[in-house]
Amino acid sequence: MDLLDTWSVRIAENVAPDEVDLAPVMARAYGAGGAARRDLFRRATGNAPGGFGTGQMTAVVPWVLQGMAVAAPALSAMLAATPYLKDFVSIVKDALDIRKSIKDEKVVPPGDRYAPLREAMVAVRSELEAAPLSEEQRDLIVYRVMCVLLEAPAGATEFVQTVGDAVDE
Amino acid sequence: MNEASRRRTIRSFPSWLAFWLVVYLISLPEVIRDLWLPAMGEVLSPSFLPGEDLIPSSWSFRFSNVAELAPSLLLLLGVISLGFPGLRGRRNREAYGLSDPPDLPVMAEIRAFLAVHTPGLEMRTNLLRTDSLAFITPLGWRRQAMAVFGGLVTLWRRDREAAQAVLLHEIAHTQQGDAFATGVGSAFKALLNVWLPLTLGWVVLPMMLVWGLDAVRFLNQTGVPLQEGLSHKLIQWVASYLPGLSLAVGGALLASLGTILLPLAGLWCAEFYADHAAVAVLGASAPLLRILREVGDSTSRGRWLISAMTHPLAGMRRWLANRAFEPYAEVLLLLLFPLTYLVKGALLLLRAWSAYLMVGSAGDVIRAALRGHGADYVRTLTPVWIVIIGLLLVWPWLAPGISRAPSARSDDHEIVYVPYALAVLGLIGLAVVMRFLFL
Repeated sequence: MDLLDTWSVRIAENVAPDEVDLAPVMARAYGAGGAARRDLFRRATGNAPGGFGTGQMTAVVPWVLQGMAVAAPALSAMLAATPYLKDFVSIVKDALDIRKSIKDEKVVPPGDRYAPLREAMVAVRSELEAAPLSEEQRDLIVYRVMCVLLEAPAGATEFVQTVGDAVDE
Repeated sequence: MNEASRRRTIRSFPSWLAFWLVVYLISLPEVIRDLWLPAMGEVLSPSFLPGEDLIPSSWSFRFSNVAELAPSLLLLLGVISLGFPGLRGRRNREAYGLSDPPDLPVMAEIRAFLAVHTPGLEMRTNLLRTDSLAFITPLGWRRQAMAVFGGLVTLWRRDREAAQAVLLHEIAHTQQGDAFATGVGSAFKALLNVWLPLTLGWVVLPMMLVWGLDAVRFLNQTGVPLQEGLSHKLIQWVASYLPGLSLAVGGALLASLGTILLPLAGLWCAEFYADHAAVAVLGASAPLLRILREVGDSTSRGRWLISAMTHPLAGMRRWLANRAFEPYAEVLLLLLFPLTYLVKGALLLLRAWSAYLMVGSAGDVIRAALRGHGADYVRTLTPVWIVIIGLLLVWPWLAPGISRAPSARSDDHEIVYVPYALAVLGLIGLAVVMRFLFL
């Protein structure tokens, strides 16, 4: 539970600060699956209860969890392959370039050492296509999620594995 | 606007829903005697009514002829449902997955806010749902709870004042005494919401049935080719039936709308008053306007007409919230429900006019008949009008004993009587005009 709480809060702090209070609850609900997980993805329809609809507002953290869960193999590969600590700053800079190259659909040269990072970003981004977010929001969320995970790859690996196991249930 | 003048604009409003309910129950025996029994007698008559033996299935017109029976039955079922608040509460709990609030710091903040404005109000939550904000749900006859969702928690972090406006709006429903009928899971609202499709079906389906069977009979008897026969019947339908159908549908809609107009106005007033209370407590309309603009109308106009008319459009709410501190807006809010009686009268006259047109009455006959109908309505309305005027005359002093609205507590502010006085004068003036026109 601490693992889910800690990492869900970290994710929320970076991608959706408004959802920091709810992040642990959301992460546990996602892990539990079933009706709890379905509640996370409910979208506002007409006839809003209480007279105040939520319009186009939607929680981001559940979608991020979903994206990480489905892309867990790519994320785990990325975390295992990518050097960290002393090379973290260059990874962050390169992550920005990778993000731009994905957007510009640039051809990846063979042997690109950041291929696992690129694949992980593409995998998470493709899962976020279903979320009611703009393209810019999607790009920013993917970038920030990668940054958060790369800050502490050991713990991130365990978190990604836990979330990935949940999607299989 | 400074704090002192803000406090003078705080108002309390009568619960027109409760008022309407009392009037409805008092008049129910008369409705049963004058509408239901004759209507049911006509619908259930075992023998042919005039003309029914000539046109196949024209017995179905019996329903169209008593179009106001449908919304009247809806209204009765809705009123009966008000007697089961516990059932509604249980249904809300299951439908929205409500449970006791978790022990989170943000919930303690929200609970502290609620305690300041409505001590003792319980809370239930489903923080997993961010598609909803908050609403009041009954727990029984005298107990209610604030249902809080994840959407409100994120709003609490993003725009604290807007979240408070939402909570204050919901709190106002409990304090105004209209939560028994408004809000989520209200069968009363749900039934009223479908008055339009029900009325259309009630009137149009029998006519479609009769036309369809008549077309089949024509094809069988004459043996003309299908396409030619249908074209002929379609032209006949457009030329002969459509004008009459249009008048019948129009008249039925007017009658149905007249039946549900007053409870509809009561529900709208409840929402406007709750918005006004939120603005009054916060001392500014900006937070409420922000949330109304941010969430907008999640319902399209078409869908609103068909299934959501018990809730006013966000545009109306924004218009009034923008003017919450204007004296004329407060007078308008006080007069909204009483004026609905006049709109209802106008609808009844329009319906009568359409009925006379259908039977081809002469202009002078129609004018005399409408004047007579108007006079009857004014006489029926007079006792209710007098009670409304009396209620508004004494409400500023009556409210602290009845309403739990914070704006009603006289020890918080001086009573400002001008809007009530203006409203009363307006109603007296309208009474004089109606007397002059019809009596």
